[in-house]
Amino acid sequence: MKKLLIGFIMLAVMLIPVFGNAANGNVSESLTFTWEQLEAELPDISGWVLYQASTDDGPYAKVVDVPYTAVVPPVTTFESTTPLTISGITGTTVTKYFVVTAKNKDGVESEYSNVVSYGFIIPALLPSKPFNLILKITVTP
Amino acid sequence: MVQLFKIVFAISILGWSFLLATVNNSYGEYTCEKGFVLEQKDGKYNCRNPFCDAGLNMYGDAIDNGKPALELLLFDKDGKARPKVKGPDGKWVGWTIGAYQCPPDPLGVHPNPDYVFDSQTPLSAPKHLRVANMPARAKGYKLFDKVKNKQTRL
Repeated sequence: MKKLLIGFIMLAVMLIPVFGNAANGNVSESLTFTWEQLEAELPDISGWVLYQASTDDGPYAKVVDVPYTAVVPPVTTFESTTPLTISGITGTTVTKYFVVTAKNKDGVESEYSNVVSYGFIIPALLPSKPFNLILKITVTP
Repeated sequence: MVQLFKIVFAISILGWSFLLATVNNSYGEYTCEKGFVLEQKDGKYNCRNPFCDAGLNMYGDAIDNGKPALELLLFDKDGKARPKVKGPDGKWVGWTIGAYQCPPDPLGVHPNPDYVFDSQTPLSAPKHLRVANMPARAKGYKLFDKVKNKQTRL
């Protein structure tokens, strides 16, 4: 009886990959970030750094540098569009957290901004197309 | 003769004592806390704790390893909010504060040895960060082929 139970458990473990739906996939999206910076600080700013993390308290990893180009008259709201490719289990939503820092001309960064998040939906894998489609015609006299 | 020598010696001792008493650890308007040495580095005045020179910057390590910083490290010695600033060389600069192994207080909080007087106004953090998904582009456009950063008037 005990051997039979162990056999069932082993069979169930072996069948998990067959019937389970835990495939990995990825999704690519372009996200647009906007933020504001004090106008008085603009002469000292060389740019901003966008960071990404899997939890809101980090650790945050650098995604991209956004250089600052002065314009006249100065603007205090800035925008960056960044393409991101995120991996995860198909059919699930992977939430990523983002912050931005201001960087001065010596390369010294400010504290993190407020945290924003975005949920990337990892699309389910499509089933493969049917094959060997055959048309049979039966003529009835 | 011996008497005269004793008098000169005593006057010398008094003179040196007076000089040592008047020379404090300051330069102009800059004064360091007790135990810190004022020094000039790259044209800037620093307060350096000589006992911390060989110490381990626990704060930097904690951040670098992604571990949560201790609550006491979120503020500097004057209670100011700690700016997250790193220099181009990766060292913590400005008003940052670190937990250094400074004998006889091995886990005490001490000013950053690289604390610089004229770096006390770091950039403020960007505000009102928002994120939105880009609308779908026209068919045939090669998406995600490059990083495109732009600055626009909104």
